[in-house]
Amino acid sequence: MGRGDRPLIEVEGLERRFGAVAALAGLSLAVERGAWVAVTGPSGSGKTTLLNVLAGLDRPTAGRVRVEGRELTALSGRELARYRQRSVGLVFQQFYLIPYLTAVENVMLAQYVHSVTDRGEAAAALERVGLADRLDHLPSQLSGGEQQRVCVARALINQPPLVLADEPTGNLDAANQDAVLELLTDLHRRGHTLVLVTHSPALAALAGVEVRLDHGRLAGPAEAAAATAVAVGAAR
Amino acid sequence: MIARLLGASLRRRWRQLALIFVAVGAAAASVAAVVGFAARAHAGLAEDLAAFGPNLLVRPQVGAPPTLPAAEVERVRGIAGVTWATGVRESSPDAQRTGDAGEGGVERIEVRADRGRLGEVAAAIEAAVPGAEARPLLRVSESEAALGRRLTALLAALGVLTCLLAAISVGAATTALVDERRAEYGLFLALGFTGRRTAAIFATELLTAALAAALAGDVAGEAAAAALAGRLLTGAATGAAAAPWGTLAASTAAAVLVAGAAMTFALRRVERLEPAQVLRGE
Repeated sequence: MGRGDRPLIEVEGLERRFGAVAALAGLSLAVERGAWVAVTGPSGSGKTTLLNVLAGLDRPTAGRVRVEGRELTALSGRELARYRQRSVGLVFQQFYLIPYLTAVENVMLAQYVHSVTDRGEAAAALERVGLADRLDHLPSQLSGGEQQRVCVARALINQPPLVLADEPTGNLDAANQDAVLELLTDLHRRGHTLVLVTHSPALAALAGVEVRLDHGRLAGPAEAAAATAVAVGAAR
Repeated sequence: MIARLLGASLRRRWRQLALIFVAVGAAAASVAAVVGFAARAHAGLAEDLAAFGPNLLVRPQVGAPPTLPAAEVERVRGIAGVTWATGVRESSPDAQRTGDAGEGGVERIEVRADRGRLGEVAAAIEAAVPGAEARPLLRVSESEAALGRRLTALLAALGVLTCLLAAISVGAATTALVDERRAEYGLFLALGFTGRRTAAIFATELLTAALAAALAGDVAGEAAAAALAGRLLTGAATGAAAAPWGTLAASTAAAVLVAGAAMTFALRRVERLEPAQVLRGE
Protein backbone atom coordinates (compact mmCIF):
# COMPACT_ATOMS: atom_id res chain seq x y z
CA MET A 1 0.00 0.00 0.00
CA GLY A 2 1.52 3.33 -1.02
CA ARG A 3 1.65 6.28 1.29
CA GLY A 4 -1.10 8.03 -0.67
CA ASP A 5 -3.44 5.04 -0.32
CA ARG A 6 -3.32 4.56 3.41
CA PRO A 7 -5.40 6.63 5.82
CA LEU A 8 -3.85 9.87 7.03
CA ILE A 9 -4.45 8.84 10.65
CA GLU A 10 -4.35 5.28 11.98
CA VAL A 11 -4.98 4.67 15.66
CA GLU A 12 -4.79 1.18 17.17
CA GLY A 13 -5.55 0.19 20.75
CA LEU A 14 -4.85 3.69 22.00
CA GLU A 15 -4.70 4.07 25.75
CA ARG A 16 -3.93 7.13 27.80
CA ARG A 17 -4.04 6.86 31.55
CA PHE A 18 -3.72 9.61 34.12
CA GLY A 19 -2.94 7.59 37.21
CA ALA A 20 -5.84 5.21 37.70
CA VAL A 21 -8.09 7.07 35.28
CA ALA A 22 -8.18 5.89 31.68
CA ALA A 23 -8.90 8.89 29.46
CA LEU A 24 -8.59 6.67 26.39
CA ALA A 25 -9.16 2.95 26.70
CA GLY A 26 -8.18 0.91 23.67
CA LEU A 27 -9.44 3.28 21.00
CA SER A 28 -8.97 2.33 17.36
CA LEU A 29 -9.90 4.38 14.33
CA ALA A 30 -8.68 5.58 10.99
CA VAL A 31 -9.18 8.87 9.19
CA GLU A 32 -8.81 9.22 5.46
CA ARG A 33 -7.10 12.18 3.83
CA GLY A 34 -9.46 15.07 3.21
CA ALA A 35 -11.98 13.84 5.77
CA TRP A 36 -13.84 16.05 8.19
CA VAL A 37 -14.35 14.26 11.47
CA ALA A 38 -16.23 15.59 14.45
CA VAL A 39 -15.29 14.00 17.76
CA THR A 40 -18.16 14.30 20.19
CA GLY A 41 -19.04 12.97 23.58
CA PRO A 42 -19.67 14.07 27.15
CA SER A 43 -17.07 15.93 29.21
CA GLY A 44 -14.32 13.57 30.34
CA SER A 45 -14.91 11.14 27.48
CA GLY A 46 -11.35 11.60 26.17
CA LYS A 47 -11.99 13.92 23.21
CA THR A 48 -9.29 16.47 24.03
CA THR A 49 -6.87 13.73 25.07
CA LEU A 50 -7.33 12.10 21.67
CA LEU A 51 -6.73 15.43 19.96
CA ASN A 52 -3.58 16.04 22.05
CA VAL A 53 -2.19 12.63 21.15
CA LEU A 54 -2.91 13.21 17.45
CA ALA A 55 -1.23 16.62 17.72
CA GLY A 56 1.91 15.10 19.26
CA LEU A 57 1.35 17.17 22.38
CA ASP A 58 0.80 14.12 24.58
CA ARG A 59 2.14 10.58 24.50
CA PRO A 60 -0.14 7.57 24.84
CA THR A 61 0.30 5.03 27.61
CA ALA A 62 -0.18 2.19 25.13
CA GLY A 63 -1.24 1.62 21.54
CA ARG A 64 -0.12 2.99 18.21
CA VAL A 65 -0.74 6.29 16.47
CA ARG A 66 0.33 6.69 12.89
CA VAL A 67 -0.05 10.00 11.03
CA GLU A 68 1.10 10.28 7.42
CA GLY A 69 2.77 6.91 7.93
CA ARG A 70 4.84 8.17 10.90
CA GLU A 71 4.56 6.29 14.16
CA LEU A 72 4.20 9.11 16.68
CA THR A 73 4.91 6.91 19.69
CA ALA A 74 8.39 6.21 18.31
CA LEU A 75 9.33 9.88 17.81
CA SER A 76 11.71 11.73 20.14
CA GLY A 77 10.69 15.05 21.68
CA ARG A 78 12.56 16.93 18.98
CA GLU A 79 10.97 14.85 16.22
CA LEU A 80 7.53 15.40 17.71
CA ALA A 81 8.19 19.15 17.67
CA ARG A 82 9.14 18.89 13.98
CA TYR A 83 5.94 16.89 13.36
CA ARG A 84 3.89 19.64 14.98
CA GLN A 85 5.69 22.27 12.87
CA ARG A 86 5.11 20.56 9.57
CA SER A 87 2.04 18.39 9.79
CA VAL A 88 -0.39 19.91 12.25
CA GLY A 89 -2.37 23.11 12.55
CA LEU A 90 -4.00 23.63 15.93
CA VAL A 91 -7.13 25.67 16.69
CA PHE A 92 -7.87 26.14 20.38
CA GLN A 93 -11.04 26.98 22.20
CA GLN A 94 -9.10 29.53 24.29
CA PHE A 95 -7.39 30.93 21.13
CA TYR A 96 -4.00 31.16 22.90
CA LEU A 97 -2.92 34.32 21.11
CA ILE A 98 0.16 36.12 22.43
CA PRO A 99 -1.41 39.21 24.02
CA TYR A 100 1.45 41.60 23.27
CA LEU A 101 1.71 40.71 19.58
CA THR A 102 -0.63 42.07 16.91
CA ALA A 103 -2.89 39.79 14.85
CA VAL A 104 -0.43 39.59 11.97
CA GLU A 105 2.50 38.99 14.35
CA ASN A 106 0.60 36.17 16.02
CA VAL A 107 0.28 34.52 12.62
CA MET A 108 3.95 35.22 11.87
CA LEU A 109 4.87 33.44 15.10
CA ALA A 110 3.81 30.16 13.48
CA GLN A 111 6.04 30.99 10.51
CA TYR A 112 8.89 31.79 12.89
CA VAL A 113 8.92 28.15 13.96
CA HIS A 114 10.59 27.61 10.59
CA SER A 115 12.94 30.57 11.27
CA VAL A 116 11.52 32.51 8.30
CA THR A 117 8.71 35.02 8.49
CA ASP A 118 6.77 36.66 5.68
CA ARG A 119 4.49 39.48 6.76
CA GLY A 120 2.80 39.61 3.34
CA GLU A 121 1.87 35.94 3.55
CA ALA A 122 0.63 36.32 7.11
CA ALA A 123 -1.45 39.35 6.08
CA ALA A 124 -2.90 37.36 3.17
CA ALA A 125 -3.87 34.55 5.57
CA LEU A 126 -5.70 37.07 7.75
CA GLU A 127 -7.40 38.54 4.69
CA ARG A 128 -8.68 35.07 3.83
CA VAL A 129 -10.35 34.86 7.25
CA GLY A 130 -11.86 38.32 6.81
CA LEU A 131 -9.46 40.29 9.02
CA ALA A 132 -7.73 42.47 6.43
CA ASP A 133 -8.53 45.56 8.48
CA ARG A 134 -7.39 44.07 11.80
CA LEU A 135 -3.77 43.19 10.99
CA ASP A 136 -2.20 45.51 13.53
CA HIS A 137 -4.75 45.07 16.29
CA LEU A 138 -3.78 43.43 19.54
CA PRO A 139 -5.87 40.44 20.66
CA SER A 140 -7.44 42.63 23.35
CA GLN A 141 -8.76 44.87 20.58
CA LEU A 142 -10.44 41.96 18.77
CA SER A 143 -13.75 40.24 19.46
CA GLY A 144 -13.81 36.55 20.40
CA GLY A 145 -14.78 35.57 16.86
CA GLU A 146 -11.98 37.67 15.40
CA GLN A 147 -9.48 36.14 17.80
CA GLN A 148 -10.62 32.67 16.75
CA ARG A 149 -10.17 33.63 13.12
CA VAL A 150 -6.62 34.77 13.88
CA CYS A 151 -6.12 31.38 15.51
CA VAL A 152 -7.40 29.65 12.35
CA ALA A 153 -5.11 31.79 10.16
CA ARG A 154 -2.17 30.87 12.38
CA ALA A 155 -3.06 27.18 12.17
CA LEU A 156 -3.11 27.32 8.39
CA ILE A 157 -0.14 29.56 7.63
CA ASN A 158 2.26 26.62 7.25
CA GLN A 159 -0.20 24.66 5.06
CA PRO A 160 -0.45 21.63 7.37
CA PRO A 161 -2.18 18.54 5.95
CA LEU A 162 -4.00 17.99 9.26
CA VAL A 163 -6.00 20.61 11.17
CA LEU A 164 -7.00 19.73 14.73
CA ALA A 165 -9.49 21.97 16.49
CA ASP A 166 -10.63 21.75 20.09
CA GLU A 167 -14.06 23.30 20.54
CA PRO A 168 -13.33 26.01 17.93
CA THR A 169 -16.73 27.61 18.45
CA GLY A 170 -17.01 26.93 22.17
CA ASN A 171 -16.39 30.51 23.25
CA LEU A 172 -18.23 32.28 20.45
CA ASP A 173 -21.64 33.84 20.03
CA ALA A 174 -23.97 32.64 17.28
CA ALA A 175 -22.79 35.13 14.65
CA ASN A 176 -19.15 34.35 15.21
CA GLN A 177 -19.87 30.62 15.32
CA ASP A 178 -21.31 30.92 11.83
CA ALA A 179 -18.25 32.78 10.61
CA VAL A 180 -15.90 30.13 11.98
CA LEU A 181 -18.05 27.30 10.62
CA GLU A 182 -17.89 28.92 7.21
CA LEU A 183 -14.10 29.05 7.50
CA LEU A 184 -13.90 25.40 8.45
CA THR A 185 -16.15 24.42 5.57
CA ASP A 186 -13.87 26.34 3.23
CA LEU A 187 -10.82 24.59 4.68
CA HIS A 188 -12.39 21.23 4.10
CA ARG A 189 -13.34 22.19 0.58
CA ARG A 190 -9.70 23.07 -0.07
CA GLY A 191 -8.58 19.57 0.90
CA HIS A 192 -7.44 19.91 4.52
CA THR A 193 -8.16 16.98 6.81
CA LEU A 194 -10.10 18.27 9.81
CA VAL A 195 -10.56 16.62 13.16
CA LEU A 196 -12.69 18.73 15.45
CA VAL A 197 -13.67 18.19 19.03
CA THR A 198 -17.05 19.73 19.61
CA HIS A 199 -20.15 19.78 21.72
CA SER A 200 -21.97 21.67 19.00
CA PRO A 201 -24.57 19.62 17.13
CA ALA A 202 -24.41 22.14 14.28
CA LEU A 203 -20.69 21.63 13.86
CA ALA A 204 -20.97 17.85 14.22
CA ALA A 205 -23.66 17.86 11.54
CA LEU A 206 -21.40 19.72 9.14
CA ALA A 207 -18.65 17.13 9.51
CA GLY A 208 -18.67 14.13 7.22
CA VAL A 209 -18.31 11.70 10.09
CA GLU A 210 -19.06 11.91 13.76
CA VAL A 211 -16.97 9.85 16.15
CA ARG A 212 -18.66 9.62 19.54
CA LEU A 213 -16.55 8.84 22.56
CA ASP A 214 -17.63 7.69 25.98
CA HIS A 215 -15.18 6.83 28.76
CA GLY A 216 -12.33 6.74 26.30
CA ARG A 217 -14.03 4.30 23.93
CA LEU A 218 -16.07 4.63 20.78
CA ALA A 219 -19.75 4.86 21.64
CA GLY A 220 -23.06 4.70 19.85
CA PRO A 221 -23.77 3.05 16.53
CA ALA A 222 -20.12 2.68 15.65
CA GLU A 223 -19.34 0.84 18.84
CA ALA A 224 -19.68 -2.64 17.40
CA ALA A 225 -17.37 -1.88 14.54
CA ALA A 226 -14.90 -0.24 16.88
CA ALA A 227 -13.62 -3.50 18.33
CA THR A 228 -10.88 -3.51 15.75
CA ALA A 229 -10.96 -0.32 13.74
CA VAL A 230 -13.28 2.31 12.43
CA ALA A 231 -12.57 3.40 8.93
CA VAL A 232 -13.73 6.95 8.54
CA GLY A 233 -14.32 7.72 4.94
CA ALA A 234 -13.84 11.01 3.19
CA ALA A 235 -16.49 13.55 3.94
CA ARG A 236 -19.74 13.39 2.16
CA MET B 1 10.58 38.51 14.54
CA ILE B 2 12.72 37.73 17.58
CA ALA B 3 13.48 41.45 18.05
CA ARG B 4 9.76 42.28 17.85
CA LEU B 5 8.94 39.43 20.22
CA LEU B 6 11.56 40.59 22.72
CA GLY B 7 10.73 44.27 22.45
CA ALA B 8 7.01 43.72 22.91
CA SER B 9 7.50 41.30 25.78
CA LEU B 10 9.97 43.57 27.58
CA ARG B 11 7.63 46.54 27.22
CA ARG B 12 4.69 44.54 28.51
CA ARG B 13 6.54 43.14 31.53
CA TRP B 14 8.61 46.14 32.50
CA ARG B 15 7.38 45.99 36.10
CA GLN B 16 8.46 42.38 36.60
CA LEU B 17 11.65 42.98 34.68
CA ALA B 18 12.39 46.08 36.76
CA LEU B 19 13.18 43.86 39.75
CA ILE B 20 15.57 41.81 37.65
CA PHE B 21 17.04 45.02 36.24
CA VAL B 22 17.61 46.50 39.71
CA ALA B 23 19.11 43.30 41.16
CA VAL B 24 21.43 42.66 38.22
CA GLY B 25 22.23 46.38 38.04
CA ALA B 26 23.24 46.39 41.71
CA ALA B 27 25.51 43.40 41.16
CA ALA B 28 27.06 45.02 38.10
CA ALA B 29 27.48 48.32 39.94
CA SER B 30 29.23 46.70 42.90
CA VAL B 31 31.64 44.87 40.61
CA ALA B 32 32.26 48.04 38.58
CA ALA B 33 32.91 49.92 41.85
CA VAL B 34 35.48 47.34 42.97
CA VAL B 35 37.28 47.32 39.65
CA GLY B 36 37.05 51.10 39.28
CA PHE B 37 38.31 51.74 42.81
CA ALA B 38 41.17 49.26 42.51
CA ALA B 39 42.17 50.75 39.17
CA ARG B 40 42.12 54.25 40.65
CA ALA B 41 44.15 53.19 43.67
CA HIS B 42 46.71 51.68 41.31
CA ALA B 43 46.66 54.76 39.11
CA GLY B 44 47.10 56.87 42.24
CA LEU B 45 50.29 54.97 43.06
CA ALA B 46 51.63 55.62 39.59
CA GLU B 47 50.67 59.28 39.80
CA ASP B 48 52.46 59.75 43.13
CA LEU B 49 55.41 57.94 41.77
CA ALA B 50 55.96 60.61 39.18
CA ALA B 51 54.39 63.68 40.71
CA PHE B 52 57.60 65.57 41.46
CA GLY B 53 61.35 65.10 41.98
CA PRO B 54 63.24 62.06 40.83
CA ASN B 55 61.32 58.98 39.82
CA LEU B 56 64.26 56.65 39.24
CA LEU B 57 67.09 55.77 41.56
CA VAL B 58 70.38 54.40 40.22
CA ARG B 59 72.62 52.57 42.73
CA PRO B 60 75.58 50.24 42.50
CA GLN B 61 74.53 46.59 42.25
CA VAL B 62 75.10 44.33 45.26
CA GLY B 63 78.68 43.07 45.13
CA ALA B 64 79.83 45.93 42.89
CA PRO B 65 82.01 48.83 44.11
CA PRO B 66 80.02 51.03 46.57
CA THR B 67 80.11 54.08 44.35
CA LEU B 68 79.49 54.81 40.73
CA PRO B 69 81.96 56.88 38.78
CA ALA B 70 80.78 60.51 38.76
CA ALA B 71 81.24 60.54 35.00
CA GLU B 72 78.32 58.11 34.72
CA VAL B 73 75.93 60.93 35.70
CA GLU B 74 76.63 62.55 32.39
CA ARG B 75 76.12 59.26 30.58
CA VAL B 76 72.72 58.84 32.27
CA ARG B 77 71.70 62.36 31.23
CA GLY B 78 72.30 61.36 27.64
CA ILE B 79 69.85 58.46 27.71
CA ALA B 80 66.58 59.01 25.83
CA GLY B 81 63.66 59.70 28.19
CA VAL B 82 65.80 61.16 30.97
CA THR B 83 64.76 64.73 31.91
CA TRP B 84 67.50 65.28 34.43
CA ALA B 85 69.98 63.31 36.57
CA THR B 86 71.91 64.22 39.70
CA GLY B 87 74.73 62.37 41.43
CA VAL B 88 74.53 62.18 45.28
CA ARG B 89 77.45 61.63 47.65
CA GLU B 90 75.90 60.62 50.96
CA SER B 91 79.20 59.71 52.58
CA SER B 92 80.62 63.23 52.16
CA PRO B 93 80.29 65.46 55.27
CA ASP B 94 77.37 67.46 53.81
CA ALA B 95 75.89 64.66 51.77
CA GLN B 96 75.94 67.06 48.91
CA ARG B 97 74.20 66.70 45.66
CA THR B 98 76.31 67.44 42.72
CA GLY B 99 74.93 68.73 39.50
CA ASP B 100 78.25 68.22 37.82
CA ALA B 101 80.04 64.99 37.40
CA GLY B 102 82.88 66.34 39.52
CA GLU B 103 85.66 64.20 40.93
CA GLY B 104 85.39 60.73 42.56
CA GLY B 105 82.31 58.52 42.82
CA VAL B 106 78.64 58.98 43.77
CA GLU B 107 76.57 56.64 45.98
CA ARG B 108 73.50 57.10 43.84
CA ILE B 109 72.15 58.95 40.87
CA GLU B 110 68.64 60.44 41.15
CA VAL B 111 66.91 60.59 37.81
CA ARG B 112 63.70 62.13 36.56
CA ALA B 113 62.45 60.33 33.48
CA ASP B 114 59.30 60.23 31.33
CA ARG B 115 56.53 58.70 33.46
CA GLY B 116 55.34 56.40 30.76
CA ARG B 117 58.80 55.06 29.97
CA LEU B 118 60.18 54.35 33.44
CA GLY B 119 60.82 50.68 32.83
CA GLU B 120 62.36 51.30 29.45
CA VAL B 121 64.64 54.11 30.79
CA ALA B 122 65.66 51.96 33.80
CA ALA B 123 66.67 49.15 31.47
CA ALA B 124 68.58 51.58 29.25
CA ILE B 125 70.46 52.96 32.28
CA GLU B 126 71.37 49.48 33.52
CA ALA B 127 72.64 48.65 30.04
CA ALA B 128 74.61 51.89 29.76
CA VAL B 129 76.13 52.02 33.27
CA PRO B 130 78.05 48.86 34.14
CA GLY B 131 77.40 47.58 37.69
CA ALA B 132 74.38 49.88 38.18
CA GLU B 133 70.86 48.99 39.25
CA ALA B 134 67.98 51.36 38.31
CA ARG B 135 64.66 51.18 40.23
CA PRO B 136 61.51 53.35 40.08
CA LEU B 137 60.87 55.41 43.22
CA LEU B 138 57.68 54.84 45.25
CA ARG B 139 56.41 57.87 47.08
CA VAL B 140 53.03 56.62 48.30
CA SER B 141 52.89 56.12 52.00
CA GLU B 142 52.52 52.56 53.21
CA SER B 143 49.46 53.51 55.22
CA GLU B 144 47.66 54.79 52.16
CA ALA B 145 48.58 51.73 50.17
CA ALA B 146 47.28 49.55 52.99
CA LEU B 147 44.06 51.60 53.14
CA GLY B 148 43.61 51.13 49.41
CA ARG B 149 44.11 47.38 49.72
CA ARG B 150 41.68 47.10 52.62
CA LEU B 151 39.00 49.13 50.89
CA THR B 152 39.39 47.11 47.71
CA ALA B 153 38.99 43.89 49.71
CA LEU B 154 35.92 45.28 51.52
CA LEU B 155 34.35 46.37 48.23
CA ALA B 156 35.12 42.99 46.73
CA ALA B 157 33.39 41.23 49.65
CA LEU B 158 30.40 43.54 49.26
CA GLY B 159 30.42 42.83 45.53
CA VAL B 160 30.30 39.07 46.09
CA LEU B 161 27.47 39.47 48.62
CA THR B 162 25.53 41.72 46.25
CA CYS B 163 25.98 39.24 43.41
CA LEU B 164 24.71 36.39 45.60
CA LEU B 165 21.66 38.35 46.74
CA ALA B 166 21.01 39.43 43.14
CA ALA B 167 21.21 35.83 41.94
CA ILE B 168 18.66 34.74 44.55
CA SER B 169 16.25 37.58 43.72
CA VAL B 170 16.60 37.11 39.97
CA GLY B 171 16.13 33.35 40.37
CA ALA B 172 12.88 33.87 42.25
CA ALA B 173 11.69 36.50 39.78
CA THR B 174 12.44 34.39 36.70
CA THR B 175 10.74 31.35 38.19
CA ALA B 176 7.66 33.46 38.89
CA LEU B 177 7.81 34.78 35.32
CA VAL B 178 7.85 31.25 33.92
CA ASP B 179 4.81 30.32 36.00
CA GLU B 180 3.02 33.44 34.82
CA ARG B 181 3.83 32.70 31.18
CA ARG B 182 3.15 28.97 31.12
CA ALA B 183 0.35 29.31 28.58
CA GLU B 184 2.58 31.36 26.30
CA TYR B 185 5.35 28.76 26.42
CA GLY B 186 2.78 25.98 26.02
CA LEU B 187 1.65 27.67 22.81
CA PHE B 188 5.25 27.92 21.57
CA LEU B 189 5.66 24.20 22.15
CA ALA B 190 2.31 23.42 20.50
CA LEU B 191 3.35 25.40 17.44
CA GLY B 192 6.44 23.22 17.09
CA PHE B 193 9.15 25.08 18.97
CA THR B 194 11.38 22.68 20.89
CA GLY B 195 11.71 23.11 24.64
CA ARG B 196 15.28 24.28 24.19
CA ARG B 197 14.34 26.90 21.61
CA THR B 198 11.50 28.15 23.77
CA ALA B 199 13.88 28.42 26.71
CA ALA B 200 16.39 30.23 24.49
CA ILE B 201 13.79 32.87 23.59
CA PHE B 202 13.10 33.39 27.31
CA ALA B 203 16.83 33.51 28.06
CA THR B 204 17.43 36.09 25.32
CA GLU B 205 14.77 38.28 26.86
CA LEU B 206 16.33 38.07 30.31
CA LEU B 207 19.86 38.55 29.02
CA THR B 208 18.75 41.67 27.14
CA ALA B 209 17.46 43.08 30.43
CA ALA B 210 20.66 41.95 32.18
CA LEU B 211 22.88 43.69 29.62
CA ALA B 212 20.93 46.92 29.98
CA ALA B 213 21.32 46.55 33.74
CA ALA B 214 25.06 45.98 33.28
CA LEU B 215 25.39 49.29 31.42
CA ALA B 216 23.45 51.19 34.06
CA GLY B 217 25.34 49.40 36.83
CA ASP B 218 28.65 50.24 35.20
CA VAL B 219 27.83 53.95 35.14
CA ALA B 220 26.68 53.87 38.80
CA GLY B 221 29.65 51.76 39.90
CA GLU B 222 32.12 54.06 38.13
CA ALA B 223 30.60 57.09 39.80
CA ALA B 224 30.79 55.38 43.20
CA ALA B 225 34.40 54.34 42.61
CA ALA B 226 35.38 57.89 41.62
CA ALA B 227 33.64 59.36 44.67
CA LEU B 228 35.25 56.86 47.07
CA ALA B 229 38.69 57.23 45.58
CA GLY B 230 38.46 61.01 45.61
CA ARG B 231 37.44 61.03 49.26
CA LEU B 232 39.74 58.34 50.60
CA LEU B 233 42.86 58.24 48.46
CA THR B 234 45.14 61.26 48.08
CA GLY B 235 46.41 61.77 44.59
CA ALA B 236 44.13 59.13 43.13
CA ALA B 237 42.54 59.74 39.76
CA THR B 238 39.04 60.92 40.52
CA GLY B 239 37.86 62.20 37.19
CA ALA B 240 37.49 60.00 34.16
CA ALA B 241 37.38 56.27 34.62
CA ALA B 242 40.81 54.82 35.24
CA ALA B 243 40.00 51.69 33.23
CA PRO B 244 36.64 52.28 31.47
CA TRP B 245 36.67 49.13 29.32
CA GLY B 246 37.91 47.05 32.22
CA THR B 247 35.02 48.10 34.47
CA LEU B 248 32.50 47.70 31.65
CA ALA B 249 33.79 44.22 30.89
CA ALA B 250 33.73 43.29 34.58
CA SER B 251 30.22 44.64 35.17
CA THR B 252 28.91 42.96 32.00
CA ALA B 253 30.49 39.66 32.99
CA ALA B 254 28.98 39.97 36.47
CA ALA B 255 25.53 40.74 35.03
CA VAL B 256 25.65 37.82 32.60
CA LEU B 257 26.94 35.44 35.29
CA VAL B 258 24.34 36.51 37.86
CA ALA B 259 21.47 36.37 35.34
CA GLY B 260 22.75 33.12 33.81
CA ALA B 261 23.15 31.35 37.15
CA ALA B 262 19.84 32.69 38.44
CA MET B 263 17.76 31.61 35.46
CA THR B 264 19.17 28.09 35.13
CA PHE B 265 16.35 26.64 37.21
CA ALA B 266 13.68 28.68 35.40
CA LEU B 267 15.02 27.66 31.99
CA ARG B 268 14.95 24.01 33.01
CA ARG B 269 11.28 24.44 33.93
CA VAL B 270 10.55 25.92 30.49
CA GLU B 271 12.36 23.05 28.75
CA ARG B 272 10.41 20.47 30.74
CA LEU B 273 6.95 21.97 30.20
CA GLU B 274 4.41 19.47 28.89
CA PRO B 275 2.36 21.39 26.32
CA ALA B 276 -0.75 19.24 26.74
CA GLN B 277 -0.77 19.85 30.50
CA VAL B 278 -0.15 23.56 30.08
CA LEU B 279 -2.89 23.98 27.50
CA ARG B 280 -5.27 22.05 29.74
CA GLY B 281 -4.54 24.74 32.32
CA GLU B 282 -2.87 22.37 34.79
